[in-house]
Amino acid sequence: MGNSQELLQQINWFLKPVSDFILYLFTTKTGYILMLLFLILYLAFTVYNAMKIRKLAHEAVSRNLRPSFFERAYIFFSELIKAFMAIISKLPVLLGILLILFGIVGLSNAFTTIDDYVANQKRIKELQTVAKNLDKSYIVAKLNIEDVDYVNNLTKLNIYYYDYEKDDYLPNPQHVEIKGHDIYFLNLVMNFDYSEIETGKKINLVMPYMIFSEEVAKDDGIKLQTTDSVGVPYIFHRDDDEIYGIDKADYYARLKEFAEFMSNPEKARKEGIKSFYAAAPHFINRIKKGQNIVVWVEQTGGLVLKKERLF
Amino acid sequence: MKGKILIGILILGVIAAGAYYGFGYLTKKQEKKIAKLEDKINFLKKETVPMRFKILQKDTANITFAVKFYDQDSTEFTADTIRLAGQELSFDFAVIPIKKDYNIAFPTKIFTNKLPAKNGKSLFEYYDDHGFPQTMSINGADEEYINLMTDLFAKIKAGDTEKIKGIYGSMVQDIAKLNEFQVNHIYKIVIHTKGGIEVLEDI
Repeated sequence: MGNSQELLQQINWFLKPVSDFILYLFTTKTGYILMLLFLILYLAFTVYNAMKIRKLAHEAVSRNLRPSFFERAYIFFSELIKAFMAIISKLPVLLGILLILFGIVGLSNAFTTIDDYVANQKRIKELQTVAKNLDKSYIVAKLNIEDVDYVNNLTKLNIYYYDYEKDDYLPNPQHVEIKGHDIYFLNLVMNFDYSEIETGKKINLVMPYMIFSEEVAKDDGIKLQTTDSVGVPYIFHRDDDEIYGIDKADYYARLKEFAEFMSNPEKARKEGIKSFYAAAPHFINRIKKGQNIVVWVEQTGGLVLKKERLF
Repeated sequence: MKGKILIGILILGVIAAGAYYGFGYLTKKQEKKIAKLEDKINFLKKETVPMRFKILQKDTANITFAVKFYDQDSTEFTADTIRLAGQELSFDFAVIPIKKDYNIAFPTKIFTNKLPAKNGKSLFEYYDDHGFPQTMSINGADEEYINLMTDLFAKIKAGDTEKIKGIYGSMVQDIAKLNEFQVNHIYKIVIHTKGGIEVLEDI
């Protein structure tokens, strides 16, 4: 497809200027004026030639002999009529030439249209990739309400962290008991610029780190255990096809760089990080025993609560 | 010979015309698809800023900050200076999904690392315009929109959120020692159409 398109572009590189010139001649005011001028010049030269020949013929007889006014008028009109009759007699040829000229125009337009079609297909693919990457969201964790006691205002919950390498929640949840029933699940959030997200080069990163509630101030909250044995947060684990074009070892090496960004905002900005803050989505309605609250990170930025994907 | 040439030219002309009109039709369809995709991308990237704030003073006991509120047309309509116990500011919102991929957010309260959420400072009074939430005000709003926003706001203020489908809370704050809000820097809170809330420096 690419080679054919290149060939068409090369042919059109020659045809387009010719086609543009033909269209200019036959569809613009200036083009019509040019063709009229050409016709007038042709007629003028034809009449002039005929007059010259007649003048020479007269001078051959006598130096002082000149064509009379009536003779000149006769030559003028007869040459005009002859010229128009010659044009009419050549009409089939002229029509043939016209057909060829507009064939060139048609061919050039066809090539341009094919080129536009191919360019548009590329653009559509690009836009679809951008829309797909911006529209993505990733699960951070699931909060399963084990028990809620509204009398003593106490909530027991299990936090399941999502491990993307396993494409599932980790089997051993973290158990938390906390006073209150409006549970704030606090996370560190690092959002990248749209330009990084659109191309799929980067994904917004989230690290759960604390739980508190409407009763418990953040300073008194419960810190969460969210990293694996080498200190990498589970949410950062990615399946091979989720790590866009770089190998696993490089990916985890990049995570160490991100730890640097946390303490170096200037460097963070240069790497395309537009915001770094903490966010806590929370379920403000009455929670119930057995309820599952799923936290997601949106690629357009920020955290949201969404329903659990159920089979 | 001439006849064959003419026929050849005619066939070429028909093919060129076919290609022109065929691909022309397809190109028009593509242009519609491109416009639709561009609209979707613009919608996904759409952001509103209901609040901006600036820390004026911060010490081991309290934090003093100025806060400004804006409507959907980015027009500022009120401002205040607030002092709370604590050092980290938490801005809480009620997020409501109106339709697929379109969420709105109402500022509910501000609290701190020392102040639990239930004792936080309520923000409703700052944008309550005779029952209509001023942060949702937009030029050209029709009656249906105004009634919907007024109804949702009334339910949120009254704590009657069980009647609002899909509603949840979303809080954003700075991170002590890692990325604290700096004194005299202006920050904005950004609401994304997909429901995410972000806080970043307003440079």
